[in-house]
Amino acid sequence: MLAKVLITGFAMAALAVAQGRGGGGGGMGGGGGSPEGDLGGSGHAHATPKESKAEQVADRLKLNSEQKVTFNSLIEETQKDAAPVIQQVQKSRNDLANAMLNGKTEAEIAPLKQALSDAQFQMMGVEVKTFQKIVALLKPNQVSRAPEAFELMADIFLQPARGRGGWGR
Amino acid sequence: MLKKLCMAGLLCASLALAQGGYGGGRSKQGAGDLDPTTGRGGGARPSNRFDYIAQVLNLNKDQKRDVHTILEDGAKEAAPIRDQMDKSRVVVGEAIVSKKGEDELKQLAKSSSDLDAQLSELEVQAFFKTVGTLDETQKKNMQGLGRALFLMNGMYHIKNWTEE
Repeated sequence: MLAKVLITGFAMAALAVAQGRGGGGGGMGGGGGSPEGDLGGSGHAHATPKESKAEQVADRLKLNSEQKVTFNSLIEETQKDAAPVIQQVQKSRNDLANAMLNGKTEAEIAPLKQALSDAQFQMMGVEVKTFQKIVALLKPNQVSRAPEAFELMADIFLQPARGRGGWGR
Repeated sequence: MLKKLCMAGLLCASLALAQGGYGGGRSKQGAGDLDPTTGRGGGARPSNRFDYIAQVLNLNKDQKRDVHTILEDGAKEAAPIRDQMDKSRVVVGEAIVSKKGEDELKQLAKSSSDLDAQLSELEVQAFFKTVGTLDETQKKNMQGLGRALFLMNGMYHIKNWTEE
């Protein structure tokens, strides 16, 4: 029973740490900023902060300043709207870790893996829809760079909830 | 007992939130001034992801070596999956640009997100193996475990897992 108490505590702590990040602080999808910040908000920044994912995507697409404004708003809005999906990805991951620590069988773990896969698919859906809107902003000479930009956009909305605000892809 | 479970969970969760990472709210002070396991001063600032993980779990020298091997092995296993995922995302990007039908797009997106999920599974497995190297005291450090899992999140989605 002690083990269960500990594992429950761990799961809650992990989720709390993750949610403490994911919840809106990200802004431009780059938001976490630093591992310290990601771990709960010391507010410390790296000595040499890296470009956020959003900045990388904007650079790759060579967006002009007007496009950047629209692009940034789009990313920020989606970041907020996608909060439930982001939390689901995080939760499913924590559930899987919890089950493994709790010595669950492969049969018991299988649905949790499926849940993680489903959550990631939902996240991908958010990315695809957002990218469709981004592509609509592009001028013909920018479109050729779009597929590579989508590759760069991987997990753009998960970045603050992942242990790598500045731990770029 | 349910009450106890809830209490333990809530306590840990509130600790994690209240302490705010290295235990200091939104200070402008460098995090290296704080010990991540206690929230008190004195720890050296880790220089990369692995050092952070070692610090939050309070690993000794032998454990560091073992955990590094575990994470490195996981990274080797993850590399071909990540390469495949990167390529699959370009394919999805091309499908979006060329306005492919929804069914086709969904199929391509699913293939890509499945690879993403595989990488996440590898990260969780690496975490599980890491916990296996800990002693009983370290295993009871819920906040440290939560942070380590968090730090491992996404580590195999990049080329150099330890990269800052």
